[in-house]
Formats: sequence, C-alpha cells, structure tokens
Amino acid sequence: MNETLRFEASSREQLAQQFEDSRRNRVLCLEWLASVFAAPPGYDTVVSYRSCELALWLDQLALDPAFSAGIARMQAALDPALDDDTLTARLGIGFGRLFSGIRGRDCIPPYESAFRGDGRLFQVPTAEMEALLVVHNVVIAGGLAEPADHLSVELALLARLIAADHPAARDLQLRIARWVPDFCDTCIARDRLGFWAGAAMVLEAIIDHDARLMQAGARYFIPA
Amino acid sequence: MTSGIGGAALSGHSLLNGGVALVALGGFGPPLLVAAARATSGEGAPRMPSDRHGAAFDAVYAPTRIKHPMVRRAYLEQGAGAERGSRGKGDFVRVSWERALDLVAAELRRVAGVHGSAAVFSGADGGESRGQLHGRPRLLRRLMSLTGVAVAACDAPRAAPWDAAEAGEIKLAYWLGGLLPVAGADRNRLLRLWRSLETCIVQDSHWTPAARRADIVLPTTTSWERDDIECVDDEAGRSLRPIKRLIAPLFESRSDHAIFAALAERLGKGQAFTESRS
Repeated sequence: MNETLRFEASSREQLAQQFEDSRRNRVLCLEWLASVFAAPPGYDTVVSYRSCELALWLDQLALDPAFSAGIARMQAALDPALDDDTLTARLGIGFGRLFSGIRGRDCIPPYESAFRGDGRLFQVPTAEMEALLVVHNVVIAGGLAEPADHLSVELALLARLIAADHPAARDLQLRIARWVPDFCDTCIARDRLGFWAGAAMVLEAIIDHDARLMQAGARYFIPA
Repeated sequence: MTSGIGGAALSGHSLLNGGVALVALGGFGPPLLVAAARATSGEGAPRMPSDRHGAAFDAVYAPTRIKHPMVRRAYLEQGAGAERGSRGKGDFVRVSWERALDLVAAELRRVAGVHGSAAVFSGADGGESRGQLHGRPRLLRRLMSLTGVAVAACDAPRAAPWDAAEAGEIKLAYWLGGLLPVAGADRNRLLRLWRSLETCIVQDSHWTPAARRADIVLPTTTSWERDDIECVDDEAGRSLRPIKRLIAPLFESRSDHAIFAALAERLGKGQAFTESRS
C-alpha cells in the first residue's frame, strides 16, 4: 500500500510541484473517463484515438502499470483492420447495446440509481446529485440530457472539485466508490468490444487506489 | 478533441503517485458541467397509493427508455436510398430534435409527393394515453388529415396495410407503439415487408422491436409525464377533470402532441393543428 503514497522529491518545492502535477493528472483522467462514458466516440474522436492526440493520451496512460491492462484492452478495440467509418459504427453500436437500452434488459445503465436501488432510474441518488450540483453552482451541459446521477456527471463534478481542491471531493469519492465498482465489473464482463471494459478497468484502478489512500488517512488522493 | 499535446515530459512515475506524464495534455471535448444559470428541481420519485401501482414506474423509469432522437447511421448519411441491411443492428446516431423533425417532415412530404398519400402507412399500436387529449390515434388522424401526407391507418384491418406493402404500394411506415413488425401470425412475412419499406419512423417511449428496426426514432413521454384531460362519465360526458403530470419528461422525450405540433408546423399546418393551444 505504501507505494501509492510515495512521492520522490528532494525539496519542499519539488514535493509541492509533484502534488500539483498529481492533481492535474487526476483531473484530466476523470474528465477523459467522463467523456468516454457520456457518448460513443464520433468519427473525429475515433481518428484521434487511432492516430492523433488521443492515441498519445492512451500511450501515456499505458506507461502506468495500474492502467496498462485497461489501456491495452481499449487499444485492442481500435481494431486496425477496420477503416475509420466502420470502427465508428461498431463503437456506436457497442455503446447503444451497453448503455442506451437498445438491446433491452442486458444493458448496463450508467446511473447510480440503477445500482443502488431496484433498477429504476431517476430515484433518490438523482435527487441527491441534483442537490449537489446546486450546492456547487453547476448544471449539466445542455447537450448531455442525462440525469444528475449519470456516471459522467459524477466524474465531471469530482474532477471539478479536485481541481478546486474542494474538501467535498472526498464525500463524492466515497459516493462513487459505493456503486461504480459494480458498474465497472459489469462493464468489464459484458463489453465484448473491450473499449468501455478497458476504460472501466482504468476507472476501477483509480477508485481502488483512492480507497487505499483513504484507509491510510489521506485527504482524497493527496497524501496528508 | 484534445489540444496542447507536445512537451509532455514522460516519466516512469506512476500517474497515481505524482507522476508528471500527463500534465501538458488538454481537455476532452466540451465540458459536461457548466456554471449554473438556474436552480435545478429536486424532483423525487412520486408516492403511489398502492404498492401494486409502483409497477407502473418500472416502465416509466426503465433503462430501456428511448432517451434521445436517433437516426440509423446509413439513413442519416444517405437518406431513403440507404442500404437497409443495418436496420435492426442498433447502429443509431443521436441527433437533435430539430434535425429529426426536419428529416421526418421532409420524408413525409417527399413520399406523399412522389407516390401519393396512400404510400404512407401510419398508425398507432399500444402506448395509449390515460387521458383524452393525448390519445394517439386521435392525434395521428388530426395530423395526417390536416397535412394530407398520409391516410391514418389506425382503424384499418391489420392485414390491409401489409397487403398493400406486399404489392409495393407502401413506401413509408410511421408508427406509434412497438410491435408492428412482429405482431402477426407470420412474423417472417411482416419482417420481410418491413425491410421492403424505404423509410421506417417509430415514435415511442421504449426500445421496442419496432424502434430497434426503425430508421428514425422519436422518444415520447409516458402518460405520467404529461398533462391531460379525462372525461369523468364517459357515457354521459358530464364533466371533465385534469390529469396532472407526476414528473417532468425524462431525458429528451416529448409528448406525441408536441411532436405532431412541430411536424404540423413544418408541413405548413401548425396553427390548424394546435389552434394556438399547447
């Protein structure tokens, strides 16, 4: 467990810089994961994942041993044998099958309500997250049209709180840790393409890391 | 999608314990959260007088609700002449309501103009409203009769439109409710005829077999999400009572009335359809 708490620095300034870098990395990761689970990648995003900025992003994430298996699964899903159009369509179908309910009851609803109750959407967690968004003076961007307990909304809010070094980040991390691991496990088991299964592995690694830090008494992801 | 790549110092440090590998990367698309311009409601789940009634909300709050207007990818790119092999495969693209309604109105106008209104097969099958205003057959007849783009088939014998489709006379199906392509003794025949149509439009609240096989899917509210009016004594018609909605429309769903009003507007009959009433 200790390895997750180790920062290597020879001076107070270097240590402070590493804390700041760590926080910025976490914010980027959460924003990226929020985008991955919000919608299927469009054509331009698919091209980027294969050969542009997002390809570099995946390569850099893969350098981290905690993420390498998940990233490898995502990269395998970007099948080079398919052209960009075909891959975009395949991922669109996969997203609809997994998260949009098109294929019926086998879908994995990316909502806290679905995992903390009897399977219905728009339950108490939705109202709680709506209240939380009000507290932090944000609303869901108009184009998303999803309830407030959507995974991407919770991750986006957490990224925002961590970026602001807000103490409420810890409570939201605890909230996410209560249902997202189940979501991730289901996603890893059911996603035959592997794109979202890989992202779920990365997300699970982050949640697991934070849980161990909290057990060690850390203030969210930064060692106390 | 991202910007600012370059100069990112790669490092063997773990991202989780203070590595610096990613700090130079940019964001990931538009933000999902924006500064609040208004207060959001904290609407919770409605209370039901009986536990049995709660079953209704299993449907209302089901993960299989249609969330957004969707168009089959090939149809979106190539129109009615697109290949039909991907119908039913789930290859949909989310579009805005404006885009979806423009597509539907243009296609209704095209088919009626080229082949005549008899080539549009429209009807309702299920998802009936608990009130009078949102009765689907009534709304559909009103739209089609005012605009003249189709003869509403709500009251036609179930086999008649399929016979017409078999003869190649039906080019477009506009259906409210979910079972059309599979509701019959000879499902293979119905599916074959469904595949023969140039355009399939389904307006429904859930991903039913018809919605999955459609080219354009329009998400509708359930009765719980819209105001309506009911006649207390149906025979004598002595009084009317309001049926207030219990919850706001979920996701991007709209009432059938709102959808038809928007289509009527695009087909030049908006005022006639709504008579300035919501």
